[in-house]
Amino acid sequence: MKKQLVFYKGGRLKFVGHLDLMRTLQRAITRAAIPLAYSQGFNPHPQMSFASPLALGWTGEQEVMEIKLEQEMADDAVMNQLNAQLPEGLNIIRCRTIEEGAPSVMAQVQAALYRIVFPSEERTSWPALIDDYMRQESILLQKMGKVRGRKQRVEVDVKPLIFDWQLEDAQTLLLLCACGSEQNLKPDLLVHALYQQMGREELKFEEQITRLELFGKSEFGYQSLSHPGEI
Amino acid sequence: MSIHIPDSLLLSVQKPARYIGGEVNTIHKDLSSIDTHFCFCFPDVYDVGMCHLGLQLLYHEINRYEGVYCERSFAPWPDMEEAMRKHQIPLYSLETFTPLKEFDFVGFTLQYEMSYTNILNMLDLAGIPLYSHERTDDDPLVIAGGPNAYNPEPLADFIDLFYMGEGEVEYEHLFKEYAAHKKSGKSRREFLKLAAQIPGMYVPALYDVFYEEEPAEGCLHTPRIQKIVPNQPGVPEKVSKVMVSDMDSASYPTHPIIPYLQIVHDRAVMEIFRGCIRGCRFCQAGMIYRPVRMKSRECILQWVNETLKATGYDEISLTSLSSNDYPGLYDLLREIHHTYPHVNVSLPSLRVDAFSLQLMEELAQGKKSGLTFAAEAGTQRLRDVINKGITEEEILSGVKLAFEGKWDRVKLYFMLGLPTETEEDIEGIADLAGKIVSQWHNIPKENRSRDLRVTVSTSFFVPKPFTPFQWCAQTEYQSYMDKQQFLNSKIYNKKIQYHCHDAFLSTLEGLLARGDRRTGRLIYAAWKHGCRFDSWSDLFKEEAWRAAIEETGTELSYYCYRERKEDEVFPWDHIDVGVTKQFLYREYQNGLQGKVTPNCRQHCSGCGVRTLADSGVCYEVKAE
Repeated sequence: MKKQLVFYKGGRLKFVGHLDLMRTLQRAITRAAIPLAYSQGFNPHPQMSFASPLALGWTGEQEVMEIKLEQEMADDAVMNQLNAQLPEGLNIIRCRTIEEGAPSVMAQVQAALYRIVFPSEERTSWPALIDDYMRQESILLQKMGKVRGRKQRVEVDVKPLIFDWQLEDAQTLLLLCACGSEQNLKPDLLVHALYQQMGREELKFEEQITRLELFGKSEFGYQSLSHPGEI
Repeated sequence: MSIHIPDSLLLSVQKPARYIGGEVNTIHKDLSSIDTHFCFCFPDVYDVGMCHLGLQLLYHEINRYEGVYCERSFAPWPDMEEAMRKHQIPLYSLETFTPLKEFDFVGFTLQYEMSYTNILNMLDLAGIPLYSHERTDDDPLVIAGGPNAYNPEPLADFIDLFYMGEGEVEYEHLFKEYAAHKKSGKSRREFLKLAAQIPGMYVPALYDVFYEEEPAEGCLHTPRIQKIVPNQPGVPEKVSKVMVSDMDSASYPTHPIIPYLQIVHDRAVMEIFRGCIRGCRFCQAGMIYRPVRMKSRECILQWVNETLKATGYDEISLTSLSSNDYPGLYDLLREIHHTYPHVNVSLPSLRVDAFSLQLMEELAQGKKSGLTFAAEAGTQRLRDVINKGITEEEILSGVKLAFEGKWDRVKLYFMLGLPTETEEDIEGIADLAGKIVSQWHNIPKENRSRDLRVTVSTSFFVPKPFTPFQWCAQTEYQSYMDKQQFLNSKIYNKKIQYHCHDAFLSTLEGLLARGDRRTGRLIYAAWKHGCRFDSWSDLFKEEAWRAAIEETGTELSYYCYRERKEDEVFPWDHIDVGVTKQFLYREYQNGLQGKVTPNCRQHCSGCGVRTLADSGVCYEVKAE
């Protein structure tokens, strides 16, 4: 049977990368005596998948993962037993059983909502800067990409990947943008480009990025992956 | 005071998970209920230090004591060091982010010589004076233990107190004395005098070194040591190591800390016995961990169960020196394998024979990993000199069986520069590798794998304290390199790959291993020149070390290239590991004559450890 887990990752766990997070969760599941299924074959690996990896340094309020179990187990039992084994900064918020054959979370995810808090600095008027930046005709970013099979820096317009945005307060940007395997915008690229435009070359990693929620898309619009049924 | 590390700083360095603590199975205690605050320091990066069983063992052992809290600290990687220095963040502990300077004890484990500059660097980052005599009552006591502590002298100027022996034994005693001392309000010097009375404790400041008047033979200005003696009454003349007598009743870390970061050996570890019966003459571990003491099968199985439950690891390594010497090893492995089919069981040192091949096949479930032979020397003559009890027939019959079982990778380990070595012995390495390839060719095509890869790796022999070869001259740098070149010219077969490397690190390792109190200046000078992480080839600064040797007038001809006479007073003669100097010298002579010494289970050779030990192989009934 398949379970979908919604979890929080933050605090010091922000500094644990995605691969390390996977191992941490796998071991916690083993300790919690949850019968995780393994793939068949030469090199069995645990049947565990994530909607979208969260970058090192970001907080995830409602991250989504799926696990496959060998035996039936109640949703509450999975959540409670697993939470008892998780370190501070990582915990399961919801667990539900999903039907076999449903598309994987990884295939479903289309968008993500981010909260970006810019550092408080005197003489920096974030609202005006952000407003000007976001209202440009096109937002060009430098990123590593492939041109005719060769890896090199390319310039892309990410404006179409930004679905919505608003200023929550004087230094906080809420950003709804593309996320997933089809198209993806890493919000830190946007932040760094904004810094560059301000003339700050050096990366200081002073902004705080939180991924608030992940969304799929249906005929009714964006649909939260962590709160199914809500739009 | 608790240190705060800004997120922006952690995000600017590689692998920030090294510096955050909070891993599963870490211990938390209320600092206000603590008498003694101890910081276990591993003088290398987190990813290496966290693989060390001794860290887990002592961490959990010490944290069982009431009123004592053991935390951890590691050497920050150069990028983090730079960030810490820039932001004036002192070195801190991973549990409570307390600066090291505020601890009662800062304890270093000495696992390899090339970590010594990291110790100085960590003290400096902590803001603790480097020299023991510069520390005041406000500074922590700096203690060091581990295998390299048995020659404490190169670090004697920097360490207040050395612990000789196995950590499970005397720390509780030491901390009890410390808690009482703290209430008394007496000086740190008073406490060190008191500590010197506890078994296994060596306080270098309480001993003076006397030198001969003339430089040693063949040296420009370095005289030999005349004696090392206590400089006040009531201090023991010799410090004997302390050891666990019953492995089953010693504590074991069945709830090891589980790092977030993928570390070098990311798995559970179960120690199955301590010590080694073999007595290879180059091997320090084989002498200093004597006598062999077994853990019972019941105990191992129970602890494996607890460890796997408490960690969720999917791999467990059964560790010891020479695994095959555990009686009933195969049954033990089978039982673990059948009880935990999802768990991979590995052994670090398994002798290859029909039994072990079948077992490896079972354990690996069809996967064929490489086979490893530590032959150490290329001819039987030289293997007899070093008392390495492995014969060419054993190796060749082992690989034959393996090739028939479709194994296709063989790794061979050798040492260059062993005492009495000739060109013939070096050529013997190439010959042996060649014979292994012939074995493969002799097997019909349909019964063997499609291709074969034999890897020959050589390291350079470095004479170590407390081994029969402690009197030997170390091979000179150029000669090491020539030997390597010679071997390379003798290997032509395309199926054989030869791995070799530069010898300067081995020269230095030998210098520090057999160094004395005068060597401290060199370590300090090297650190001043920016040396740290010397065991990392990409960070090793050869020129800086050469400059430090030059500057301090350290004579390699004295420390490395000189053969010692029987009457040499070693810098470590006042330390007693149980094995006597007489036995070691006898073994040295046996070695030079190519005489093999039987292992401890066959026959007791009277190494002397029996008088120090009250259990182990010394008290087993011999089969003879």
